[in-house]
Order: sequence, then structure tokens, then C-alpha cells
Amino acid sequence: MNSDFDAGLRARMRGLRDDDIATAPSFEQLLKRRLDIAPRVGRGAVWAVIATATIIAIGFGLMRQGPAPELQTMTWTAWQSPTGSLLNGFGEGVSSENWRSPTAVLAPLTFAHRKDSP
Amino acid sequence: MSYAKPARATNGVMTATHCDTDPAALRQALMELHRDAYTWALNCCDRNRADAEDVLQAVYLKVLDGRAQFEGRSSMLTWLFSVVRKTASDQRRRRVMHKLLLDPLALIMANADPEPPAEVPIEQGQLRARLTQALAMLPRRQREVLLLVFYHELTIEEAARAMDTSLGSARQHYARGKQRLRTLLADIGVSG
Repeated sequence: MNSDFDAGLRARMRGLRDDDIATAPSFEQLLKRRLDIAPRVGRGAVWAVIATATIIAIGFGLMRQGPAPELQTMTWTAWQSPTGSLLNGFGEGVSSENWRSPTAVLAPLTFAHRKDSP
Repeated sequence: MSYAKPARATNGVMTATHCDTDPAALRQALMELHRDAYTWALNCCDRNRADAEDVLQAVYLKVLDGRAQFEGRSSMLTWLFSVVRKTASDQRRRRVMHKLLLDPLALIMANADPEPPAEVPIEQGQLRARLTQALAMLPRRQREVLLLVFYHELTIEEAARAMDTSLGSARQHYARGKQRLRTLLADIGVSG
């Protein structure tokens, strides 16, 4: 029974194969399709070329805008913190020579008092 | 029309050495195997002729350019069949990716409601149309092994080589596929 099924299937498959072979393109015909499909294959390459050209054009455009501004040389001694300006004017007199403490005016009076005391 | 099997270039005439050294011999071997290769490509591409021609052309170019080389580990026919199968599988994967990128919704809809892939020409006999319909309903590996054995008249061992699978696995697919095909054919009114 199994072999009957196999034989029947084989016969039907053979019929199907005959039909398929009847419509098969020839070997040479199939190889010649290479030229026909070339544009399809080339489409990806065309897009790659366009993308590369665009990137290069943008690069050139940026380069032709002029030389890049010179970088300012910065030294650690000249560096100032972003909030450093807030300190300008505040406490500047601390380091000056004629600075006196707000209570300094009291000192001579104190000495004078002790001198005069009995 | 009867199908006369071509004199295959595998019976000791074509060897790996010939392929390496003589491009004309390689071309001749491909010409001799062309009908078998075409029908196998057709079966690997769900019987879509345009796809089969694309795949087979890609295979020939691969072989002639030396990107796929016959090393003589099997017969040239089974080696060529395995190249065709792999190329068709790659093409299917690329199509899925392409659809996934361009139209994911269409792909989801297609997967949700799969249509039988077989395009049955009107001129084909109804019986053959039903056979292709039943084959299309089998899982791919079961279909492949049955086609290789019954359509291409290979042994299961040769079919296993063409499918790049083990003999045990091919036997299993063969047995399950045949069982399922018998049921499917009975369901659609084709007796064994």
C-alpha cells in the first residue's frame, strides 16, 4: 500500500516536472539576464555614491567657510571661575596697607584711659 | 511529454579538480544540470518562476565567479542543489527584511493570514494543481525532502546532503512529510 502511494506520487511528480521543464528558460538565456538585472543591483550603489558625495560636499562647504577661529591660549593663573566676577569689589581693602579694623578707633581711647588712671 | 533525465555530470565525469582548472568544463557541467537546477530553484521559491530565475542566475554567477566552489565531497548535483537552496533561503530572508523595513504592517497581515504560496497555472491539470496545493501546505523541510526524493528522484541520503542535514533528520522529515501529504491528498479528494 505504501509502495502504491509512492508509485502514484512519483508519477504525479514526474508529470509536474515535465510541465516545469517545458517552461524552463535556457541556460544561456538565464545568464544573459545578468545585464537586465544590473540596474537593479546598481541601485544600491547609486544611493551609496549619492550619500558619499553629499557628505563630502557638506564637508567642503564647512571647510570653505574660512579658517577656524584661533583658540585663545589659557593659563591657569589667568583662569577665573565663572562666579569669580562676584568677588570683584568685595573685600578688596583687606589687603591694602591702610586698612583698619572697624573697632580700631577704640584702641587709643583705651590706652589713654589706663594711662590716666591712678 | 516525457522527461528524459539528462546525462548528469556527476558520474565521474566532473570532479572538483576539473572545476578548479577548467572554467569551460564548469560551464558545461552547469549546462547539463540546468534543468534539474531550474526545477529545484522553482520548488525552493514556492513555485514562483521569476524568483526561481533570479535565484538560479545568482547561483550560476556564484559558481562561475568562484564564490561557490565544488570540492567533490558529494555529487555535483547535490552540491548545486544545496547552493540553490541556500541562495533561495537568503533571498527569502532578504525579502522579509525588506518588507519589514518598508511595510511592517503588510508583513504582519501576511503572517496572520498566510495564503498558499503556490501559483498554479490554469493550464495545469487539476490533479497536479491539487498536488502542488497539498505540497505547499507541508512544513518546508518535509516538502523539500519529498520533492528531492519523488520529484528529483534522489535517494534520501542525497536529499540529506542537498539539504545540509543529517540522514536521520532527513528520514524523519521524509516519513512525517509522506504521512501528512497522504492525509492532505485524501482530504482534497486525491486518492493515493
